[in-house]
Amino acid sequence: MNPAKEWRTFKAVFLRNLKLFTSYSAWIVAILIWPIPLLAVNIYSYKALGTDASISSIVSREFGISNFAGMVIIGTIVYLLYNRLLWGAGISLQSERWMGTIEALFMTPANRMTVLFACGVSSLIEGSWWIGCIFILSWMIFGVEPSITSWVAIAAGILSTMVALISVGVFFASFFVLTRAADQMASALQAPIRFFSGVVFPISALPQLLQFISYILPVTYGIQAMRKAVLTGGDVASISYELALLYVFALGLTVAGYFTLKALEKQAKRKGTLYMY
Amino acid sequence: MLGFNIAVPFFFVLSSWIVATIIGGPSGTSAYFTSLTGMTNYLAFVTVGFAFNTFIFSTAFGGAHAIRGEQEQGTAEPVFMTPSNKVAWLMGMMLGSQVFGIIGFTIVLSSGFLLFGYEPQAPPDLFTATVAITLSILAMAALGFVLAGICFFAKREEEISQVLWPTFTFFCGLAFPVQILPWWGQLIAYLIPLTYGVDATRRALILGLGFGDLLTVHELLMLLAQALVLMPVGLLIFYRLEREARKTGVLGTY
Repeated sequence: MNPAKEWRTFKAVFLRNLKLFTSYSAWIVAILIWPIPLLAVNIYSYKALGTDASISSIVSREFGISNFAGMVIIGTIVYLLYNRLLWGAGISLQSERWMGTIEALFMTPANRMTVLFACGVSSLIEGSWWIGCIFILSWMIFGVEPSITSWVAIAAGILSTMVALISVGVFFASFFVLTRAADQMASALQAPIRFFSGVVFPISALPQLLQFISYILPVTYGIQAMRKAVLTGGDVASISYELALLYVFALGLTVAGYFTLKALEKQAKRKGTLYMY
Repeated sequence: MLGFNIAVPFFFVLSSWIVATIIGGPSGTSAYFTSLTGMTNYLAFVTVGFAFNTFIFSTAFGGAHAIRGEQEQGTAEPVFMTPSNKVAWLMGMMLGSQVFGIIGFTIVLSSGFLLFGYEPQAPPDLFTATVAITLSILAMAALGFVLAGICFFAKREEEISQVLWPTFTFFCGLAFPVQILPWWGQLIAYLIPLTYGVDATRRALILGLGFGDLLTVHELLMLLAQALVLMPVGLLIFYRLEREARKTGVLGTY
């Protein structure tokens, strides 16, 4: 591996994606607005069933989280990042197919994994403002007061979650191209992941059988780590279990993504169907 | 499309089930919710809301989705250069996607019935529900025309849908009664036909209220009025945007 060559590939893909992103005003507007109604829907689902005080009291008693809005907000932020990566890195190879450039890309000597990681990082740049935006919204509108004792834990939580989510995107990128139904699959995956990873409620609220599905999703651990760090004053030691699992997922999904990509390339060369959509 | 039409509403209902269980205990009932809506079962409320949503998603975004598909496949220019009636083409696409809407509606409603014990409080008035859904589709088709026209220029239909879907869900009371929105939120809610449509459908399917109920009649009349006003406006905007797209040569670009 030549680091200089990988860096050039990474930079080229990263800059290309940013240029593409800024070429569509609808895309920029969507990125700016989307978190707001989504977050509001999640919070108002609780508000239909009781007053703020009564809901907070129940959530605090059941899950040890004093502010239900904060619980939902953290879940929504991590979910949004996952979603951005699914639609960014995950769809990246399929987008090349739609744009008619996938064959050209696979003919270049560029490292495919570097291309996918660059797509993931550029997606994070697009979506990273959501973290700030939602924190400001939560403070101004929903009166959420974070209970932060360790900024290092928060930084570690965000970084580890991002690394794991990039790997999710890398894994799905090849898988989506093999199925040729990337957008439908990405759309269909959004809602189950939102449910099983506990975006709106802690996964302990799920029936035991359904919790087993939650345990195999990296988004679950990202949400748990961030909730502990932001809402219950957790430090790095208290979220170390979640962080470790996030890196295990990152490694596993990257390796799986690598082999799926290899399989895709092999099949494409044999059948000549890469451009078909 | 089918996956989205089924998975999204189904899992939203599942989430609501968990939320209802957290707040209301195993029964999932809430006196606060009942005092707002007159309905005893929150899950029935949510199930009908999200089942109804499948029709609206197909109507409002079906046209833009079709145009975006033609653009990506490189066939938008030939399609819009043929002498065929473009509105008929667009309506065909929107009605075609209603097949997914009907399947989604049936599956979500059935799953509510089978999994969550969705039980109407009175025998459902299916005729009124059908009228409400049909009028809502007509009124929301106007938005579908506008979005299809916008798609010529904005291109990224999927991002537009992604923003509008939770926006409608929030303002139109799909997941919670609009009465809990702040005053400005309620003002916006009652400007959108979907709000009247989903409420009339719910009242018909859960409370069994039909043309004998004053509020239901009021909601159906509002829907009819909105459909009559918005359809021509939507068509006019679509024609203008299509003409502009031809003039500026952006029909096929994506």
